[in-house]
Amino acid sequence: MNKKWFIVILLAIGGLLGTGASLVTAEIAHSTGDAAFCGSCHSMEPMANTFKLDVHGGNNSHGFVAQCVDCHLPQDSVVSYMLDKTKHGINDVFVENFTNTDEIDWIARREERERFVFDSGCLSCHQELLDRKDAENPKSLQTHAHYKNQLASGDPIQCVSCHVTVGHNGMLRSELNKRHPEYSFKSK
Amino acid sequence: MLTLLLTVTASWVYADAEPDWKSLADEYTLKPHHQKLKFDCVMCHQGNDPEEFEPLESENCLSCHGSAKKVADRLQFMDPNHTNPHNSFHDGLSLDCYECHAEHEPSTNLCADCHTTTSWMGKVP
Amino acid sequence: MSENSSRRNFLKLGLGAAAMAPVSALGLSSAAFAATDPNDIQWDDEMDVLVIGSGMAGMIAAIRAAETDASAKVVVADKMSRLGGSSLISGLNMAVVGSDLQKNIGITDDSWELLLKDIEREAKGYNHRELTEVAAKGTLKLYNFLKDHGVEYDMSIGGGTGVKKLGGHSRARCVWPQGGGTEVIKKLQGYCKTQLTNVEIRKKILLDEILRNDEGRVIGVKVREKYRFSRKHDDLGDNDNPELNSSGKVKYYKVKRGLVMATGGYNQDRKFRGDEVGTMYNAASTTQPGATGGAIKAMISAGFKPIHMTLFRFAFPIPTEDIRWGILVNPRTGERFVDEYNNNDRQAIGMAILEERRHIDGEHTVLIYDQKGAEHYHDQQRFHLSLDGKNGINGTIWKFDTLEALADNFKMNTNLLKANVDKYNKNMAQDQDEFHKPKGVLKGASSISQAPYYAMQLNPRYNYAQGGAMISPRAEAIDVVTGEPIKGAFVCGEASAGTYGYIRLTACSTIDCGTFGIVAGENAAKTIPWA
Repeated sequence: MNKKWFIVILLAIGGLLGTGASLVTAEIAHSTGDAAFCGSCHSMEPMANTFKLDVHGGNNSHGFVAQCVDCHLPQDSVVSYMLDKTKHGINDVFVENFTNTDEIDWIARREERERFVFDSGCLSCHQELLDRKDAENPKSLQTHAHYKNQLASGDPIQCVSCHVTVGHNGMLRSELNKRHPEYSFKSK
Repeated sequence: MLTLLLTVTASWVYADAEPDWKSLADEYTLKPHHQKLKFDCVMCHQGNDPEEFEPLESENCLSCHGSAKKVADRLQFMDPNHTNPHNSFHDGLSLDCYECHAEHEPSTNLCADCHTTTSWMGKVP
Repeated sequence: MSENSSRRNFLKLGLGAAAMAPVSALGLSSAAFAATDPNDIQWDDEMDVLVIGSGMAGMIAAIRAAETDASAKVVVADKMSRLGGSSLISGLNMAVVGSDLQKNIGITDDSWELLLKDIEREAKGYNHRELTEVAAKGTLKLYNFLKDHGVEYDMSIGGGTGVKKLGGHSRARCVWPQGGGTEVIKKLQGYCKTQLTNVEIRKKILLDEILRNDEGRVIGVKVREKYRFSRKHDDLGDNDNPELNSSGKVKYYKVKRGLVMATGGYNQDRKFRGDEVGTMYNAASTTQPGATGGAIKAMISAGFKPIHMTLFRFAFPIPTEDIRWGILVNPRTGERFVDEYNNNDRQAIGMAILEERRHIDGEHTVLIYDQKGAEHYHDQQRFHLSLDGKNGINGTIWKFDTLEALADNFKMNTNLLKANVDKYNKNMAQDQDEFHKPKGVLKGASSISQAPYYAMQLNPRYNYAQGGAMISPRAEAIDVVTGEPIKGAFVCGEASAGTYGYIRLTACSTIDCGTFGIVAGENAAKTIPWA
């Protein structure tokens, strides 16, 4: 066999292997993004349980279910998505297995929601939302116009700045209270 | 000369017509959770004339906060003790928001008027 | 010549005018109010019966008015944004003669005459018997009225019988609505919503003025709609001062048949009650914050006759008979200042506390028990409510392992406290208490010595205002000058006066609200409209 054919076959096999690896990676990335997977860790159970009750988590007339990563990983570019996914994947596995996750103050962490809930996530599904001319709740036209104004003027707010409990049906705090009650209800 | 006079008069007239939103915002401050959202006065108060602004009714608050039930459900974990301020023993879902919550002044705690609430609830936002 | 005749004419004219002048100008009779000509008023709304106040008395009056005449438009107006008045947050237990619950435990010899006697023992002669009789006779009717309108009674009371004998009552006759006043108000509101289309309940309507025409008949009211009561004042009575609270828009309501005042007491109005009884300025009150003097002032301005204004009724968060097990001390000196038994005279103990507080800039006096005292408590349920912090203002009881910890918590000097506790124990051992507290009533708790210790800032609550507008047995308001009933004006519940006296017997406010609420509502609906 001459060199030219060798290289061609190498490239073909490499291409096949590469495609296969990409498809498998994509499949792995996809199957490690839903509530069944994320919720399999103890520390994520309250989040998964409340998500199930939410309109985004299956509690709707279409049976539509979003994945955790649809909101909790950036959806604006594949690169930032994969980078964040890898970073969190390593971090989460380490923290879940080698630290005591019961010591994490999830109730307080909710106040940092703007850090880990991405507008690109919301907007990748709710594509027409910001341009609507009518709405079930007319107030939303005013508030979404405000969002667009802030974005345009370089001083943005985020979807979850206002939509504090989206995705978890307003029940996350209560669910977390089952493990870490905020109030003792005790006598003096 | 006439043009100069007209310009000066016009700007004086128009300056009066537009309310001084900045100093109003400084005087009528927003609570931190609303300030973060970079709201201006007209997000809550209708119309363009601050002189005509009235204290909000509960429906105004609920145009964003949904419904009394939705607000109460967020504090579900307080229901077993009947200490959920939004679904209490005495009032259920029937309280007006402003019984406790104020925007331009500190809020008050209606329950604490009679009860010692320190072990049941936190600060009223 | 012409000058003389003109002077004569002038005199003639003058005398003639004087003869035609209203009788009042000559001082032969006078009115207590400024008459309003209905034609001068631009009425914004009209109704047949207007009930001011949405507590138990007001709701019952509105329901009875609406039931008496289904064509009558009945409006309930309350100045607060939270309806229900003091009734909403009260236990609302009631004395009932002849209930099924009483019969079930074998009591067949109770009577309205016996209840009347019990009430008058406490009233000490201040009451108007014809009014007290209305309340005493109407208890069973009220009990059934509430049942018919959705109220259930608490069967866990009295060991499962639903009925209990309270202090001052000579028979077991007191019953509790299930869920207290909250349930009563909810049920009555629900009844109006679902069964009575002619009753409308409006909130945030402040009564400013009661309008009477030149014949003295009540024709309407001046109100302020969208009024905002503010709980931020140290003296809640400030809300009645238009200079301190000018919220709301003035409107005029034409009231065609009857105005029913069910506005409760003025217990939260420091200045108003402090003017009647000096030390009362500092008392606490667990009535609703809206219980201020505005309504009684409006009634007085309109010529309603006020009586019993200096009388008051204290309540403690714990039963009066459970105060005796402890010692009451001045936190600054550690010293006692009163006999804590005092023949169970709640008024006397309360006044002693308020007077002592006056000497220490209003700081609270402290009631201290030891474990023996806690075990002797009659009302263990109330004791635990206090330990949970659920017993209202100054109702919390704190628990301490040592007297030092107790003293520390209330910023008391431990040595002073200990010295006074020792003095008390020593004297009481020989029944020689310096305040003549009898050892005999203390049973096994005649010393403060066994840990843990319990303490509370015992402060009397001014929770019932006997004072108010005098009424007839038909719930009609009385004119202060003529002494006659005012046409078109009715008063019921705590806002009225005369049913009770020096003290109101426990479990009797409800029967006053309810029986007179029924009477006022029926009579208001039956009043012939003036327009």
